[in-house]
Amino acid sequence: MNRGFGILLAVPILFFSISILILVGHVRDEAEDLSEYILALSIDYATDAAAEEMLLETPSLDSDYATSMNAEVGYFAADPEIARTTFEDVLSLNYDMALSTATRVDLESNYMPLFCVAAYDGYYLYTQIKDPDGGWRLQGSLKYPYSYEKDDAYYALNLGMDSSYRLKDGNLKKVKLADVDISKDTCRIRINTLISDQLMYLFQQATGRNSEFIYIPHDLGTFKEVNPIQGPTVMAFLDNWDVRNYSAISAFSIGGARIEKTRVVAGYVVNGQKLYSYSDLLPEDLITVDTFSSMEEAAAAGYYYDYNYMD
Amino acid sequence: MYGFINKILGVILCLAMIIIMLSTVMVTNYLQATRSIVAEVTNFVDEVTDTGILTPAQLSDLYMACASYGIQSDVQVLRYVKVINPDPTDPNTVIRNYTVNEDIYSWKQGDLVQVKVHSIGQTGMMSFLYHVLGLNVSNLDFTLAGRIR
Repeated sequence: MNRGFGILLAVPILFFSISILILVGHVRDEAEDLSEYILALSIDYATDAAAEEMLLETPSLDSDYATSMNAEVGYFAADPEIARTTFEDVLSLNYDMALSTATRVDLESNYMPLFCVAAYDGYYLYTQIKDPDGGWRLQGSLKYPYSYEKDDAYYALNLGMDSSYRLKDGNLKKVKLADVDISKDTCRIRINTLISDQLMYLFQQATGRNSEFIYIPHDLGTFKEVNPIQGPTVMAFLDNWDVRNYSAISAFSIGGARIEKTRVVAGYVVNGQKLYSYSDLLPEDLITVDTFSSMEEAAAAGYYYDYNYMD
Repeated sequence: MYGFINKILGVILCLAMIIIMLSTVMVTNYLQATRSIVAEVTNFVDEVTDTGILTPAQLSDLYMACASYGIQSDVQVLRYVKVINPDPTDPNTVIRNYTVNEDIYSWKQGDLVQVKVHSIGQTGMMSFLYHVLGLNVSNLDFTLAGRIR
């Protein structure tokens, strides 16, 4: 083999090596893209399920969605604990993990630095705290109001965007937003900005990544099509997710819900046992003792799930 | 003699290039197929969660769609029923859990649908890549779950 050919041979060998490296890199990148795509789908399913379940199963849910006994426009009750547990259960199922307390502890300790629930007149923030038994768990906060300051007065806004409580000169009074010149747009901007600023601060504190930020628009975006907070909303952030992945990835999701109809849950007694089922599944001759707006409410009243009719 | 060695080396290099090119095409097709299967399962989960209806015909369509991309896979659809009962140890709290129900054709609001997809065995392409290049392309294995609205 002459010298010239030896030098020429280096070119195809180099090309061959580069081709192999590109192929390996392409396979790895595609696998990571697929993992990110599946995580995005999973967290979206989980937040949507959490918002729907929270809305439906929170006790004392008024049957008329538009008004309540307080005559608040768009009022709804929300239990953030229901949202949290449902989110964790659906996310566990998306990765074929067991539905158990151990899985929930694993998720909260290792992957969920942030969780937020936007309710009617305030929002709840869940952050990680050290568990005395070891590891970390999510601790919920008190409900923070959607506070807004204008002209030496403080307002407690809500997602109905029709009325508000005003604190001025030591006097608390309920006012219509239209009377105090606060538009629905202003209200929406304030609520979304408040929550996204809080989330961003807690995110940076929890992860230490100060160059990244969370932004929630106040209206449906044109390009990114991110939904703003306009109703009961669940927001979750997963960090360093390495379940069934080559590398650790992150994802953020916003899930909302709206009730269109509810099913009445009926409680009755059969052979001395208090049972509940959806009223439309029961035979006509069964005497209903009590009615509830959700399964959670029926169980809290001491009625048990009736496998005969519910399944 | 040196001319003979040069020719052999040239042929070997050509063969190696052909193998690399073929491998790239096969891997690209396989990765596209996995994406398509994920899209099919996503559409299925969205359909079931939005309508609350699943028929044997829809299930057959899902199986055929997943099989049509050339990857032999096992698709399993499971139904989880929400059960809430009073906590016998504390009258002020309730216990929420999910139980698996074999009837996957009757759904109610609050149930969870889970679809598991797991590829069976290795494709010829994966076996070829592993033995020739030592490149390990992972099996298709994912799960998606949603809540019935």
